[in-house]
Amino acid sequence: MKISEDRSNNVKGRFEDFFRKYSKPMFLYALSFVSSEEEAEDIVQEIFMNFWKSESYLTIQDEAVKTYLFRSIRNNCLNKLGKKSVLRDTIDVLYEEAVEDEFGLLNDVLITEIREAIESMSPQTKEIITSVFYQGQKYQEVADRMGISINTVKTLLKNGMRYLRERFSGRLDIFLLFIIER
Amino acid sequence: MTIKENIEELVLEFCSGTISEADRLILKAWIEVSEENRKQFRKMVRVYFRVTAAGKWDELDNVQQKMWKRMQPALGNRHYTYLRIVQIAAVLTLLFLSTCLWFVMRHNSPEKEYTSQEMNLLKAEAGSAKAILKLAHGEEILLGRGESKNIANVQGVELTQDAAGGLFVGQESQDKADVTPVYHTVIVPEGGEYFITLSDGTKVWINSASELSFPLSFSNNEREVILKGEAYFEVAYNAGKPFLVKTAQASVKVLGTSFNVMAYAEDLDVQVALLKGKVSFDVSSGAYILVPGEIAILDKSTGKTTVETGNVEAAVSWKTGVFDYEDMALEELVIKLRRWYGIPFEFKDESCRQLRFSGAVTKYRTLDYMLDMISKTTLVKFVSEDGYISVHTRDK
Repeated sequence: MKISEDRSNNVKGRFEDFFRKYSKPMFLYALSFVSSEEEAEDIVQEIFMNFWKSESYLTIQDEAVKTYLFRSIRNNCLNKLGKKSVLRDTIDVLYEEAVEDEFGLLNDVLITEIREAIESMSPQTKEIITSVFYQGQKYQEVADRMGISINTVKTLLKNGMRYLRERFSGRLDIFLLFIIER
Repeated sequence: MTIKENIEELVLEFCSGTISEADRLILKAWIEVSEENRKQFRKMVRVYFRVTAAGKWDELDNVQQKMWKRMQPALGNRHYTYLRIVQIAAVLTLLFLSTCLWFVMRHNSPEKEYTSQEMNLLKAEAGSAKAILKLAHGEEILLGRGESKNIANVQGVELTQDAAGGLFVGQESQDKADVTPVYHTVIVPEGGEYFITLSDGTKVWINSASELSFPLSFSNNEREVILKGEAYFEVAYNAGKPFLVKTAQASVKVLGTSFNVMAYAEDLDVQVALLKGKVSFDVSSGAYILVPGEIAILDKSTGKTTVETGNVEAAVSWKTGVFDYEDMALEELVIKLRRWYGIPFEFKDESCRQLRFSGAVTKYRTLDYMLDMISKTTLVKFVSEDGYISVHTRDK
């Protein structure tokens, strides 16, 4: 009895590892489709509950788990939005794929790296990027507060994004492994 | 401001959902120009979300905690049989081994070296909008994209190629309708895909290695086209004039609807997937009426037809730029890759033929990217040979 409980705790442990590792990026991924945080939470929770019930986490490989979870987010969100995949065009497909790749890769280490990269920028660019992305401010608000023109804000923002893109260049094309051998 | 700078701004607007419909079209056109642009787009999107995530990451601890707590009641303790424990142990061992393998592979080959000839095959670019229009009198016209232009004027009907890679057949004139239709053909080679709007307004997306024959004007009582290979149809509604897609083994008759027909000569079966409306799938043994969500499959060797509920959207995903396949054997998958990349495959180990895969992958990646993904997750290895790619089992 004792042994069997330990085993079942291990199983739950594997499930919990997946949850800790993927629930944050999954939440952000869901948020790229739906507008409210509550809705995104519900979707992530529902997917993990199904994952638990199906016991899929016991039998599939780690990489495949990630694929399964992220694909579920996408399908679930598209269903909720009532979007038919045939009505989506190249740009939607490329976008969703890039977003899925990105969130599939996110973890604490990468987040630390990006923060350090932003930290190393010029004070003005850094302020613009954090205002727009961290605090969700509009270009005009940022321009007014900093006493510069909206065009300067846009230009510095674009330069900053380009700098980040170059800095992370080699690693921006890593792709989620989508193939599951049966 | 250069175009490039402007695109950068459009991508930011696209990601934040504030882009206007007009700007979205500009962005779409830019993306469709080249693989390089698509790569740039992906990178811009990724950096956008990476920075956004960095801003939100810490608050997410709370969200995560909250979700985990709410899930607890459902995650009760369970007891596991001995068999299950063995299964888990096996999975964990596999996991450990595959992780080791991945590390070894990563460190042994940071940059793969190919000979120049191998390089060519593996770097095969994904297909693009290209086709040949073969007119009834034998003249051949190359179709592509990039500029809108008049292609031909046949018996008063205008044929126009649009910038995004599509062919438009001008409106059918009433007085022509009683003449016997003359058939012209759009031939899409391996590595191509093409879109055509017929004179009745019906839209057809033609997949790689396929041909569609159509008249400039349809006859009075029906609209008939002939298909070799695969195409997706959105038929303009006309109750008085049924639309008929003929293939070598079967035909599909409709009034107005959306469906996919896959009838490649070398495939083992003919498949019709119905998305909207109603179609009749006519084979020598009889007629089958499909409802949306159903796929009819004619097995060419036995002549038997089965109708099943299936993933019809996956069946037409090629049209939106994705290879989407469910439980597909590797031998079928490589046929699809050959059609799109124009490079043949040969199995060196017969045992790999029946390995089954599920997944979805964008079509607009180079071939080595696709093959890399397959070999990373499985024990299959691809080797570039003289003019083809061989498929092997990798040592465990």
